[in-house]
Parts: sequence; structure tokens; C-alpha cells
Amino acid sequence: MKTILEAKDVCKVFGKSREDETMVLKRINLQIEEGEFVAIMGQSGSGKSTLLYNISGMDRLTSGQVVFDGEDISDLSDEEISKVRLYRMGFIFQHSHLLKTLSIRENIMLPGINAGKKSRVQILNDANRLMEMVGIESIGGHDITKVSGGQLQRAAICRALINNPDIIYGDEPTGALNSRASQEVMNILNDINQNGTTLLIVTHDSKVAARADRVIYLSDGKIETEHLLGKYNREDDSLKERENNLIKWLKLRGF
Amino acid sequence: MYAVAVMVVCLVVLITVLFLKLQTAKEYSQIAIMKAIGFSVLDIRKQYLVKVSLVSLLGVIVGTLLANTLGELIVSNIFSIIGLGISKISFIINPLEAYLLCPLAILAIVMLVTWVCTIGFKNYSIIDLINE
Repeated sequence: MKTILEAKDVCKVFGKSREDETMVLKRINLQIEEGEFVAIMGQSGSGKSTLLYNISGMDRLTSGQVVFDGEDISDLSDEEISKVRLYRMGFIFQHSHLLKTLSIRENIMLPGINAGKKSRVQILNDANRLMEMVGIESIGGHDITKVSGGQLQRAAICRALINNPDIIYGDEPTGALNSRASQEVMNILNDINQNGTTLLIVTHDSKVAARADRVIYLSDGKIETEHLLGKYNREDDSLKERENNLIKWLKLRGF
Repeated sequence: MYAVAVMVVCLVVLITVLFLKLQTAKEYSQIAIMKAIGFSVLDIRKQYLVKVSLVSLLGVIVGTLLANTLGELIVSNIFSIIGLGISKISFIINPLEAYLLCPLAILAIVMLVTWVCTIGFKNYSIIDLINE
């Protein structure tokens, strides 16, 4: 399988002066294969989100290299990395972060319009198709303040998918949702992964991580260990068993 | 006359800067989100330039029209109220300066100030927004 994302000796230091410097990421080496679903877990402050933002190009590394589909993205200019994010990556945050001045449908279409590769009609059709896929086709014209958190997060997933990205990054995508909405969102993400999109999700929730092919455990800015769970099939009802397996593994290692 | 021109430039710069500071503070999260979903800093700066320029163009056109129609009346009344013994003022204008060069100059200043003030967008980050 092809490696879609590789982090080599990635370090991230915060702090404006030597006295208040903090090394949040310590020589992280990581490889993600195309089509994989990888979950990053760890205690609060372990560097999970920092890792996600640095290997996705949202933040600048202090040192090291990130190679995305064979291209070193560590030293790209703002203009260049924006293009990579726009055309090849999708992002889902804990809070949907949709724009208040646009309707749900317009929010979903926005990256597509910015990309400029399809006509407005094609983008609208894509947006409608995605909304139907996630079950929010009836709220397309609504203001973002008039819908539930689960619906907003599903809209955020559609926005992330509008340009057919190679990889989707999620930073606690179910963190602000109730258990039912979390399950719905994760079912959608699993289906997207089944269709070939690579997923890299940061989560503290074992229910979410149990759906991944592989779980990476971060501690104090370093990768402590990894656990292979194998591909999750929604049809064979193995989620509870996988979650128990994962929790047992985490407990055995004192996490 | 040059002193008046300098005062006008300073006033235009001040109003534009204050307006932009207010607007960008209000729209910080929108800018950060747009960056996160793939808009480059240049894209966002151009959007602001277009928005502010259109508003300024409208202002310049309306201002020029009002100055041409009501300007003399307003200034005459002000001088009457102040009590300088001047009851009527007539403007002697150079049409080229008044209707083309000065409006264009004001528009150019607004556009330049907008472009400079939006340099800071490169520091806007979704990460800061999330941490907040």
C-alpha cells in the first residue's frame, strides 16, 4: 500500500524565549498508508492536536519533515500549503466552525467554489449529494444557528469532502456531541473510509478509536506505542469487542 | 490648500484603519476558518480589498454628488452660525480635480491602507481560535 503521509523527526517547540520554551513534539516519526483509518490517543497535553496541526500543514514545524504523497510540505509557502489543504485535505474540528454569514449549503460549497475546478452547478450538485449521504438534505438552506450540533458536524464533514480529498483530519470530531450524534458521525466517517479516503483522527474517546485500523498512543510529545485493531466492518457488530480490546490494551500499559 | 489635503489624507487613513481594526476583530474567527479550509492569506486580503473598495467607491460617489449639490449651502450655513459675517460661500472648483483626481486619490488611499492593514492576517490561526 502507498504511504500517503510521513512525518520524519518532527519537533515542535513553543515559547518566544529560551526561558519559556516547551518542546511539545519530540522527534515524531509516523507513516500513514493510503486508505487507513488511524486514531491518535493520549492524555491531555500529550501533543495530539499539536501533532495533527503540524503534520497537516496548519502549523509550522520547528524541525523535521512532513511528506504528503511524495511531496515535502514542511517548507511550502502559505500560498502553496493553502492549495494542498484546499485540494487534497479535509478538516473536521471539535466544533464545526462553519461561517455564520452563510447557510449550511453555502458553507459546504465554499471550498469547492474557492477551488475553482468545477462549475457552480456541479458544486451545488455535489453539495446536495453529500448532504443526502449524511442525512441533512432538508436543512441546506438553514442558518447555522437553527440546527443541532450533530447536524452542524455532519455539515462540516460534507464541507471537508466537497473537493474529494485524499485525507481527512479530525480533531476530536465527536468531542462536543452526545453519544447518539457521535455514533452517527462516526458511522459516516467509517463509510467514507470504506470508500478509500484516509482518516487521521485525534480522540480521547475509546469508542471512536475502536473504529480505527490502528491506534497510536502519544505521551509527553512522543509516540509511546501503537495498537493494530484491523479493519472495522460496521456490519459484523464487533465494535463493543474492539473497544474492550482497546481499553484492555491501554490499561495493560498503564494508560 | 496643501494643509487641507494633508488633513484629508490623515482623516481618511484614520477612519479606514479604525474601521478595519473593528471589522477584522469582529471577523477574526471567520478569517481563521477560511484559512483552515484552504483560503490563502492572499485570497482573504483580496476579498477585504474588494469589499472595502466597493464601500469606499460608493462613499466617494455619494460624497462627490452631495458636495456638488449641497456643499455650498452647508458651508454657507456653518459660516453664518459661527458668526464671521459671511452669509454665502461659492466654490470655485477645478472640475478635473474635484470630480476625478480627488475621488480617485481618496479611493487609492483607502485601498492602500486596507492592503497594509491586512498584512496581519497571516498570523490569524484556527489553532488560536480552537484554544480560545
